[in-house]
Formats: sequence, C-alpha cells, structure tokens
Amino acid sequence: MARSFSRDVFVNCAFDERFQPIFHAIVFAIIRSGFRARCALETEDAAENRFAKIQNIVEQSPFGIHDLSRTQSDGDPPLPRFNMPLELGLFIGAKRYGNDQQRRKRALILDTEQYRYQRFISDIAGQDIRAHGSDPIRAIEMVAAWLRTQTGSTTVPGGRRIAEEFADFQLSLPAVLSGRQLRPAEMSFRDYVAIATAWIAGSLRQPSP
Amino acid sequence: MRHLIDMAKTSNASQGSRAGRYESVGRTSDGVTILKPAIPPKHFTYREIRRTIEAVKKARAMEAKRDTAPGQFADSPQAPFKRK
Repeated sequence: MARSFSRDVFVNCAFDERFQPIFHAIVFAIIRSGFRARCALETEDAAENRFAKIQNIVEQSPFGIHDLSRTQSDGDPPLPRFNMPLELGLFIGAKRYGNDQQRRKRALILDTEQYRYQRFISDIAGQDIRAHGSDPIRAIEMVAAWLRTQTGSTTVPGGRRIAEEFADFQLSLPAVLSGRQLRPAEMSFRDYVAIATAWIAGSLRQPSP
Repeated sequence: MRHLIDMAKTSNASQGSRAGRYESVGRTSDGVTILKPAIPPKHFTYREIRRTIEAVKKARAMEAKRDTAPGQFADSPQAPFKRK
C-alpha cells in the first residue's frame, strides 16, 4: 500500500493509570477505524530528543485527538501538567504555518465536561471540542464518528459496535499478556498497539472467497 | 533562504522515519483495512503476538464450548460411570 498523508492520528493525552481506560479506548477506536495511532510514547529517548520526535510525529499526522481531561492541578505544590496543551498548540501551529499538506490537519479536542476548557485555555473556543464524561464508551463513539466524518468513509462501523468489540478485546487482554509473560504494567504503548491491531485483524477478518 | 533548506531537511527526515509506508495486516468483514502499526512492539514481534492471540482465542472458544455443552445424567448411556 503506497504511503499517503491520510491515515496517522496523533493522540495527545495523559498517560497515567487513571486515564488509561480512556487512552486504550481511543487507540482501539483509531485502529478499528482503519488508521494508525501515534503518540509521544513511541519515543523512549531522553528529554532533549523527545520533543523533536514529537514534532516529527505531529508533522506526519494529518489528524490529532487531543484530550485535555488531565490538565488539572496535581501534586505538592498543586501544579497542572501542560504537555497536552503544549502539544495541541504545536499541532495547531503546524496547521497554521505549515505547507499545504499541514494546513489540511484536523483536530478533535476531548475533555470530561463540555465547557471546562474555558477556565484554563479559552483561546481554543471555536475548535471541535467534545465531552466524554470520562466514559471510555463515549470516547470511542466520539472518535469513531469524528474519523468517519473526516474521511467520508462509509465502511467504518458505528461507535457502539466498536465499543462492544473493545469490551471483548479487554476480556482477552490479560490472557494475551500472560501468554507473553508480560505484566500489565510492562506493556508499552507500542506493545498495546500491536496487540490491538493483531486482535482486530484476526477477529474480524473478511472470510476468504 | 537557509531556513527553507533546514525545513526541507526536516520534512525529508520525517518521511524517512521509522513510521514508514502503510502496510495492511488484514481487512475486516465490514471492509475496513487494518494497518500495521507505525512502530514495532517493544517486547515481542508482531508474528509472535499474532500466534499468542490465536492461542488465546482457541482456548476461549473451547472454554465457551465446554460451558455450553449439555449436562449428562449419571444413568445416561454416554456417562463415564455406570451404576451397578
């Protein structure tokens, strides 16, 4: 299949344990919709190379899903984590100042509540912002619907069906990790993407003629 | 002019990155082409995880079959033990 600038989706969100159900749901929906999920966790280099690698991934991704749910005060002293807004800014900047290809970028912004962003990042008003209420099923439905709209694809199934497949996948995931002698905490983003891809491709294969 | 050359170098570098070309790993029954991940997994190969998943699915299918198999009464002809 020839390379085209159309199938990479940059996922910009929190990577902590509390957010993991939403993150895994979003990545699953992306793969199931026929796209490739990309994110900063692909890089394992030291900090000085990490941002350069993120810039490369943003450059390669015409679609971006930016979840701002975890932009909230945390720790002692309580300070918000700003990586998500930073990477959103990077994505919007690439769209604004880049070449024709970059100007075709599309962003979906997710949060827990519809207008919470107005309290900390009001400049993004007017962008496509949706609230999933921290529900992985709603996140899947929003991502699938958005990707279907962006590409005009009629083959991508509805979010509810993808959510059912995700639930089935989650039932199998512990056994798959056990089969590779991996603890859940050892599973990297790259591992998760490979497992989800192989599971989807294997489970839902078109029957041979 | 220098900054344009630098931008072009960056663009070429990103296209030659590990993410590479799109490769299909299968097509779903509803017509969606599933793409191979951009970056290889860390703890196993793609082939290895496919085999593991196939084994897990087989085991789940057998378990499901066992759970739904009809019960057998002790005095049925198929029962492993017969009453004296």
